[in-house]
Amino acid sequence: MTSPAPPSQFAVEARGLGRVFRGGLGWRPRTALCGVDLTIRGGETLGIVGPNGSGKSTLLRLLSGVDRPSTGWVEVLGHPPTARAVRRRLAFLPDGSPFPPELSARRVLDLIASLGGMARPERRHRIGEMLERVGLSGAGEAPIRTYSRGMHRRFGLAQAFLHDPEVVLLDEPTAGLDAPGFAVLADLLGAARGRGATVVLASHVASDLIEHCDRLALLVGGEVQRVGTPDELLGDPEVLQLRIRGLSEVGASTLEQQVEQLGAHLMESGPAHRSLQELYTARESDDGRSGAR
Amino acid sequence: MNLPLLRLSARRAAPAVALVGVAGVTLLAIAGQPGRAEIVEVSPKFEEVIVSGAELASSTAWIAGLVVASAFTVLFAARIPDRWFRQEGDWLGTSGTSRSSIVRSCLAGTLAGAATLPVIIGLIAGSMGQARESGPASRGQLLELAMLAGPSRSFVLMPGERFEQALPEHDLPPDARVRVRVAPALGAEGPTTKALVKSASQSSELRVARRAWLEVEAPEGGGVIAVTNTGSGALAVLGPAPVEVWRPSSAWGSGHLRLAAHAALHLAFLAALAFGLGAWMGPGIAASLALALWLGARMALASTGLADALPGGAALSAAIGAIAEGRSPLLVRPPLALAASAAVLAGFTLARTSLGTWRRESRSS
Repeated sequence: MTSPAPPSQFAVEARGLGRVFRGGLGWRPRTALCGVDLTIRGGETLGIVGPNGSGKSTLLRLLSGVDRPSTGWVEVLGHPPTARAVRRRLAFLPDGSPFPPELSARRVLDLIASLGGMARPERRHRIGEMLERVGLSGAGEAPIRTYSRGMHRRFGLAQAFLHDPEVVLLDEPTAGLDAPGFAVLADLLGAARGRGATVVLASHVASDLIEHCDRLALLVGGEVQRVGTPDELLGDPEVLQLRIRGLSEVGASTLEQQVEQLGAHLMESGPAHRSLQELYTARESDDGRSGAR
Repeated sequence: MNLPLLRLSARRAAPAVALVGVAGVTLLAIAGQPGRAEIVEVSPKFEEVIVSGAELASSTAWIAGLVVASAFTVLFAARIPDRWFRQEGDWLGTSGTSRSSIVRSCLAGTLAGAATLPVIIGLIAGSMGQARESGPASRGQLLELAMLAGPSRSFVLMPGERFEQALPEHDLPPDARVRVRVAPALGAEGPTTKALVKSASQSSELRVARRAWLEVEAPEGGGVIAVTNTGSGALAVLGPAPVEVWRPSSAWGSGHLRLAAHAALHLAFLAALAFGLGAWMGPGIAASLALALWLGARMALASTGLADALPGGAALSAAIGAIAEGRSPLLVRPPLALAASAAVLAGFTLARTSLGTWRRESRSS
């Protein structure tokens, strides 16, 4: 008697994953992914970075079960991603805006939530809450086709996190987002990680992902070139980065001299830039003060 | 079945442009209808001619509206599954609902959307029927076909010759009518002739100068209807089944509701085919192929006993013909509904089997 296979220790596991697209008449087949091996532990956040056309979106579609691999296999939560039980626990934010443009955000969220099996009273409650959370409560009744690119992305995030998924796949989640939008994304990701969700983020801008990811996978030409922590992949052990608050000009000069005395070379110094989010926050508080006067 | 998805598909199958287009064409088709006020002052005989013109305009409106509705239906129905492969599969494919349920909901919505178009045509064209019933030209009881009889081919009555058709025993109310289809023919002295039509309870003599119906009260409980050529020209009795028995009808909306049901089945047949084909090919090709399949089937079945079983076939033509005469079409018969159901099943199967993946193989991005 054979014992059943032990459940996978990974939330997402892909082995030998490949995708070849058949060409049209007169076109050669195109290999989008080739022999990708990937494992993601439960509760981990993995960033997939790579240049345009490297296969990030194709990989996410295979992981989400929207597309079928030409070679290899993928399992999410121990099952194929097309299994109904998995789909109710998985969320996918595709690139672009594929949602019905003629409907309002509230109606599309209602549609998606109903397809996910959410009961009507819960839908009403969750949709209002999620629109508020992503900053679209004022535009919830407007047709999606009237949205800006950043609003589309916020809406995409809302639909992805609507039902508290256990596995979240986000393709270019920061594309078109403004600074408050980044804060929305950080808030949603923080909450997802807080409840132990597994997150996969794909972007061609690595700096957008670093702060959120436990590990990064570098995808080039449809192949995973390297996998490691952000420090392992992007860190330079030869260079130390310091951010110092409250140092006077004299102090800075002294620090520079001491660095030189230690045999090191100060590559760059100068006032640090505030983030756009900090700038917006400062502006809002300034406006609040002048309004109060 | 997912109701929000069904509603979205219905909206996409009958978007505003289709609703306005069908309504506009239907209104244009009846724009030339003679005004009722003009016929009050003329003789009753002339009035009859005008009434015929009005009813013809009503049927023309149906034909024009249905032609446009058919084109819109196949095009918009074929576009719905095409959207799945143009990114919408990215969120449909990760939803917790089964693919079969998604296809079912989308197809049901498509059929519901297609069914709104004949309702619009019926509301516009039917308003003419209402006007006829309430206007001075009302001819009384609305009739519907009860029985067909007579030989399967045409034949000619020379002057003095007589044609008799025994009607089987039937249970018809006193207002039932029987009529025989005739036309003048060559072969005798005059180009026109006269005909005497007689049943047990009524007789009538008419000059026959063109294709016409000779109509009298139906004999109660069955009996014989007789046509005698009393003129100097030849008289053709036009088969097949030249004798028709009509009984009073209680159809709503002067029969336009029944015609709307026939039209809805026709559009459902086309929509289901276009939907299924649209899951496998571009919407333009799928729409054209669906229309070509229907037209091919109609031509192939025209001379067979199955002509009545094709939605949009002989039964729809007969229903429009009945409206053109100010009479009620027959109710939709089971074979028609069965054929439309088969098309819906085919559309579902085609669409469902296309969903191995939510991506078209030739699209790689």
